[in-house]
Amino acid sequence: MAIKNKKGMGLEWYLLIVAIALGLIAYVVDFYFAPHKIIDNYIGQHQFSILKADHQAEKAAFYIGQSAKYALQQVVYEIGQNGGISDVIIYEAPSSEYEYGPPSYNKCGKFYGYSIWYLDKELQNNKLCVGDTQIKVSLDYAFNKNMNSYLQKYPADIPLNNYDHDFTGNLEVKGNAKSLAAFSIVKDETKPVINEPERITMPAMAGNFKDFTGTSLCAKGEKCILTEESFSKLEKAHQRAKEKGISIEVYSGYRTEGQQMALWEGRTAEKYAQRFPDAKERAKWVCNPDGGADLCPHMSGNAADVRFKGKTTETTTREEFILLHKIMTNDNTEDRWVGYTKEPWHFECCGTKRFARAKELGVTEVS
Amino acid sequence: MSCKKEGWKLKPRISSNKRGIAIDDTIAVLIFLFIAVMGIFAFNINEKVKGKILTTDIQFQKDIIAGQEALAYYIHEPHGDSTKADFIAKSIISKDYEAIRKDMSQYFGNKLSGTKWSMYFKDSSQNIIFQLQSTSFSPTEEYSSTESPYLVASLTVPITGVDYTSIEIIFVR
Repeated sequence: MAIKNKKGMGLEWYLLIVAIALGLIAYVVDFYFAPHKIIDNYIGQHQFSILKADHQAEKAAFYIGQSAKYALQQVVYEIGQNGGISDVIIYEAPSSEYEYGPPSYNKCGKFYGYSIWYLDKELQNNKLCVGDTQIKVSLDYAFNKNMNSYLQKYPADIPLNNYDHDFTGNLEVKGNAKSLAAFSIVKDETKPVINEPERITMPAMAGNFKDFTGTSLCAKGEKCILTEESFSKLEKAHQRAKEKGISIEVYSGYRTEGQQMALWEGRTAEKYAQRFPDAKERAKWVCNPDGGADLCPHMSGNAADVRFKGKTTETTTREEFILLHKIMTNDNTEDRWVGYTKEPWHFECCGTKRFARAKELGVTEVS
Repeated sequence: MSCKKEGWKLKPRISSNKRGIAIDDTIAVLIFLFIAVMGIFAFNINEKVKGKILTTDIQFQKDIIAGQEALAYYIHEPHGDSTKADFIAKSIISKDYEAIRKDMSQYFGNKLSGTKWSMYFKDSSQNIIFQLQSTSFSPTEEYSSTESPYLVASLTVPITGVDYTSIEIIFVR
């Protein structure tokens, strides 16, 4: 059917008007109903990002500084109360098999709760039970432990055991960071700051390692690596814990030879070498990496120190350790780990010497 | 004179136009012009809104810098023989929130004068312990529908090894 168009108005006019009207309607609808786009790359945007990252760093530095102040005050008070000695945590006491009293590494012991400074026989050898060095090491050790408890609470991730402490003057502490905290300049503000974990070179013998740092199975601020087989068993243990309404986390897993050597040589917060200059005595507390993975199972990637979330070794009760043991060793299946009598938080599996011995004996825990 | 004459002559020719521009064409042209004017008008509004968004965004960034710096300066200020951070920690431990409220209201009232702000103190479980507001808020006032509150500054103050408090400053514009 032909369109009647006797008076000269072309069809193109109608089409043009309709097109413009449609375009305008689409524009208005889009403008009012579509989400507003954030304008990217306006002048100064990246400068603001730098300033914001600077704020994040300042806030973390402020928190670390305040924490150090309070941690030191608390530790000095505690050490003073304890006669210059920090009570060491349970796993550092030799032969501490499930004895949950607060042991001290003051070899002269305590008298009614007070640390003994000297014994007659020690004096004859011109040796004091508590000397300046021991007080300093105690202070360093306890301060680091206390400081970690503060840093763990910070909403973002601050590395633990990351400072070499220097105590000077009238109760001043200076900390030199071993690794630098990273703050992303252009990042999503809603996401927490996650520090890139330090890269660890895996041993050439095995490429089946699993790095689960930053996951819910790894304690905050720690690096967590296990062999894939161990990790699979850990996941199953975690599942069993969840069924009981609790969560577990690993706070020490695979250690390189260099990391174990640092422990042995006293280059870590634990200061083993300073506290136990005698190598034989020190070997009771920390293993010598020269013995390889057989002697130091953490170096195999098949050993893990485990705890309940929200707990520390000090706050875990005997009953909780027993429950942890049950969860990890899981008597009836092949998914079990094996406990270590002297350290109720330490578990091994998948071919370590201790694991093989326990399997042979048909037990879930060996010394 | 000749122009006037020509103009005078054209008038009856247009009014009695029978063959030139059709009346339908005139309507079409008018509609077209109307739509074009509307288009230009909408484009102008768009540009203005875009500009406003940009200005607001820059203002937002500036507020973040101002708020964070004000908070950082405050927290490092001396207070007696210690700092404001220690003062806050001690006051929170002793639950003396009124002391904090008084001190901070005075400081931030001067520092952020002309801005409508409120400040929240939260514990490590993110529960609000208490809050304070600029004097431009009436005691029971909440935000109006045309105002938008946004977080400009926050700081975490350690209290003990197991607890901390977060201070958050909100600006309302």
